[in-house]
Amino acid sequence: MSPIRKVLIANRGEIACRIVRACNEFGWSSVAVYSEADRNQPHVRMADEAWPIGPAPARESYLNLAALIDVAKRSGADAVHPGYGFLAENADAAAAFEEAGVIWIGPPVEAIRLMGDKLTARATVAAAGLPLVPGTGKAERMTDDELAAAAPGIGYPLLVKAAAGGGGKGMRIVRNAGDLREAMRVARLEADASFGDDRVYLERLITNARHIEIQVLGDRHGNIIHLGERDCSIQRRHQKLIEECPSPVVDNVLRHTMGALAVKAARAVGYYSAGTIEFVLDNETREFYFLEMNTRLQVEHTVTERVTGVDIVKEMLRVAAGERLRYHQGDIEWKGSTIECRVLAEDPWRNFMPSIGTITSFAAPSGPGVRLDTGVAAGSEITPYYDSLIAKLVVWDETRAEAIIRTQQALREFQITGIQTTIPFSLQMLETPEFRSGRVHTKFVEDEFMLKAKRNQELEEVAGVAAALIAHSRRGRAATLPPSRNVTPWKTVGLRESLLTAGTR
Amino acid sequence: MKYKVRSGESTLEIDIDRNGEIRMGGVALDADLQPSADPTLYSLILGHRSYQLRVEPVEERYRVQIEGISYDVLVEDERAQLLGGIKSASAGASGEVLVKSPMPGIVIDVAVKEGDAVASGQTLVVVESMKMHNEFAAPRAGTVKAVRVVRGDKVAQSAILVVLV
Repeated sequence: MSPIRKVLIANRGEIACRIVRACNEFGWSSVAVYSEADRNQPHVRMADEAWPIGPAPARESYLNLAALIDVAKRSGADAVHPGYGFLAENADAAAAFEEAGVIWIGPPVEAIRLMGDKLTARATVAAAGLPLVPGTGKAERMTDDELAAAAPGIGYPLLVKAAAGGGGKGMRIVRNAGDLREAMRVARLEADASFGDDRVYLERLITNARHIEIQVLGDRHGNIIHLGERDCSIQRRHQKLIEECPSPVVDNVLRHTMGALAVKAARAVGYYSAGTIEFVLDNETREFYFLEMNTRLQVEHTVTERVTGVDIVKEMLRVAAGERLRYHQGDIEWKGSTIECRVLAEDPWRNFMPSIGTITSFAAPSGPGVRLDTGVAAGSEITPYYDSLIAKLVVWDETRAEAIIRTQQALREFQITGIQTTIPFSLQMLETPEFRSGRVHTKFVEDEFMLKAKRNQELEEVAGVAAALIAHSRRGRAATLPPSRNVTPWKTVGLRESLLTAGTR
Repeated sequence: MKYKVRSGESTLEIDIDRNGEIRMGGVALDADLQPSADPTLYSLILGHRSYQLRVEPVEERYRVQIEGISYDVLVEDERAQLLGGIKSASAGASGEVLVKSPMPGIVIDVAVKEGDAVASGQTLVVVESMKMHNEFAAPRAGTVKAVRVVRGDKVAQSAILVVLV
């Protein structure tokens, strides 16, 4: 008998819907929560129970730990799935739920805590044998002479960074040895002025980098496996936009090398459940370095699911119930190629400005190999309170080249009106020679990619003809119908137009 | 009826006569537009080429979505063109600029006060929406006539933030 029969889902949007489905498949009840802004969202309708948790701002609702624990108790939930974002990497929240007798569907509290602190995380994984970006380390005070002596071992270009720093203050790029001393002098001045601390350290600058991350999965019986990599190099301001599995630059040898190291890192913190070890990979040298570990389910877990066939959310539920993983490392195979496009309520033509409003229609693409995870529907309000992700289009095909074509097909089929979305961005990105040949890096979107003007004369004319016919029809109706007759203008167009065209043929 | 249609970068002369015959730039078109039960969904067959369209009115325009891309289309008949000319002339004369928030959000900073002289491009108000900060700048140099928001205000779409003269 499973210790879990009812799961509180402490999240919203597509990931809440994703978790409801997994619970349903196990025959477990699902408990949704919603803020005042989300009463009409699909996750509320899909779950078996739904409880209000407060006003729209996240800190008063989805981040309101006391309200969530209260719902867990009153609804009789045995477990809580935090999804991603919100409380998902909050060790105190995990501990509070466990203390209240509610199983945390995620890793051990201590693992969240260790990996949540950047310095501790780096020290822990370094001890487990993972490579860190070459550098002097920021802990101790080093003189300019000592730093200069360490520089050749780090290699150029490198960064001089303020130990107390952040936000680019006290940071200098050095491309050759001759410029190092001056860069350290300026960085120390800036660091002292900004933070009252003139300690600086050196770190290798990787200019042509990819973001490669390894999915790991463990159980409470000491089994840990990896599910290979995801390539998340298409990002803008650290926001991932397109992810894929496998990476076009990772072969089977590198996959298992990185995978084995990721498992070591997870083992070092006694990990179980789903987690991700993020690496930066140098496109030039193929060297890779640990960035951080995300102790939760990731947005882009879907691409791994499609290529390996492992349902990561179901495995998380199983592990939380104390069961063993269903897979050994040798069972895991990677078949075909999957691309995920995040569809955001942002306007790519206006510098990705948030697009807020009501979704007036929502027609999802379908067909072989097409999966759509979404938490909105026609009628959904896109509010300013939460992040802008509205759907994840996840497309599989036998080869990467075919997956790109199929993804473009699905993007063209995907119709959302009422708000602007990033669909045009994804369409154009998949068209670039750089993406097609797998030669992108993490600054590609910001530094090199330019969204092309949407000039397509044929389609502009088609749009013009359609709009003129509709305007003409509305105009005719306004002239002929008495004002008291309450007819939606859109409903009458077709009849009129079909009569008109019938008359001319 | 003659229409001047601006669709993206194209300007089209479209004429629809009493019999419903449609001409674009003087050339007759065979066009059949059908709506559906979904009020935004249309099927257009244009000389046997079939298009699936999403159409919705946005302010005074139509937003037409085809194959993943939206085109904003302005349809003007002769009278509307005439009125449009008068309207833009009067707006230019008054010289007042309303700086509006294009989306709802929360005001997190107000960088100017009444009477301030501002340069073109100077930040006036910062509005947070979906965890992003959006800075709204003066579209031209001028003087702040009124500040309509304070820090912490929730603003609706198209809310006036600042009035410049």
